[in-house]
Amino acid sequence: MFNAFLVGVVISAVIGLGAGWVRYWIGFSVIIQGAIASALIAWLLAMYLKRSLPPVNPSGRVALLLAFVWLGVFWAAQVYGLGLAQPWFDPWGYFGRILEGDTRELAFGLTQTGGWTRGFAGGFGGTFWIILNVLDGLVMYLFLFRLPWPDAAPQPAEAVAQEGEQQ
Amino acid sequence: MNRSPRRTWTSLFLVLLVAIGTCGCLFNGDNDVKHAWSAIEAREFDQAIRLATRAIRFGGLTGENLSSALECRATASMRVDQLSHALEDLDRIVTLRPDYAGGYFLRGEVRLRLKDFDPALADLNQGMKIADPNGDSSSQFLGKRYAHRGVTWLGKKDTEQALADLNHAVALDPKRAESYYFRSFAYQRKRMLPEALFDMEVAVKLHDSNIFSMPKGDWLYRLYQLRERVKK
Repeated sequence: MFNAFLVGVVISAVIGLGAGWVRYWIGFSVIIQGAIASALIAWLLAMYLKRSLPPVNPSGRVALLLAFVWLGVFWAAQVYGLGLAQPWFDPWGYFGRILEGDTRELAFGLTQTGGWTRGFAGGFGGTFWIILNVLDGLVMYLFLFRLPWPDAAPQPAEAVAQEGEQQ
Repeated sequence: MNRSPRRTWTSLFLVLLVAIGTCGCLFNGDNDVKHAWSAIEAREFDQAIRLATRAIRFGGLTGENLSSALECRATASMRVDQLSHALEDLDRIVTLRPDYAGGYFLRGEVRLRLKDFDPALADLNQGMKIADPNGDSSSQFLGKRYAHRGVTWLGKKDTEQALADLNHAVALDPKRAESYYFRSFAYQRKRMLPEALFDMEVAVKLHDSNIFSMPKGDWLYRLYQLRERVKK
């Protein structure tokens, strides 16, 4: 379990670094970024979990906590990745100025109002920027929490091997 | 690790490399520079830095276009008080285009703000040599540059030279509040208090006439102090 947790931390950190880099150069794709990042983390982690023996299958409470920690690691790495993309490392200053409304971050995504789905793009700062980030983080958290953990039952190949050992 | 995960990681790494490589095709350097300058006009300095940096890194710019991107980033960096970074960009501009006066003027301004008076003076002189070799230009743009040189002279405690440059600055651009503001210091140093007070009154008036700016507190305080001294 601890190995799975650590692998998740490493994967979240790598994906977070990439997300920060993309976010600085291209912009913040609300919800889409969170969905893609969490899908990537889940996919890479599932590849590791498939091969881990014994199979890992945490309880709901542990899965919630794991998702929360991975999300935190992803966010920290994202901030760091954004800082690395900057001409000089100042991610906290950048986000601070966005929060205070001194500057705006380009954000884009899809929204549905009155039955119409439409794209939006623009510079956002202050409270609305926080809401967009919380939305994105929430989607990511749900994806990470609903990670398809492999079944605890042994895989066919393992079952054959176990039978062989017994004989 | 068996073959399959290794291949996956290699593919991911290659995808990342291709993504970084294609950034050069995705981003249009010339457009980014244009938008970066617009961001400066809109006082969006962080976005100006971002766009100018994107143009510099991925835009494939050379010559004047690269110089423009560097100048834009340096200007925005100055506005967010990142003077050392601005100086790095301005050094590159001066190397790229040694005959471009703007690079020397801006570098002189940054060095002046860093209170590095001798190099600032050298830069401003070099800029003048290129932009106004005979000293008879009537370009309003040069008013700001003469004012900067005047302030540099003030920093070097040479009031006569400072006054000469600040007078020239006022003549070239009579609506520039900063020139009057700094000239009042030169007059004060020469103990010409009525002239200093008059310049300070004009400076505050011009500053107030700009509806986008509130009078600076220290300007008003200085005006008050000068009024008190003249009364005595």
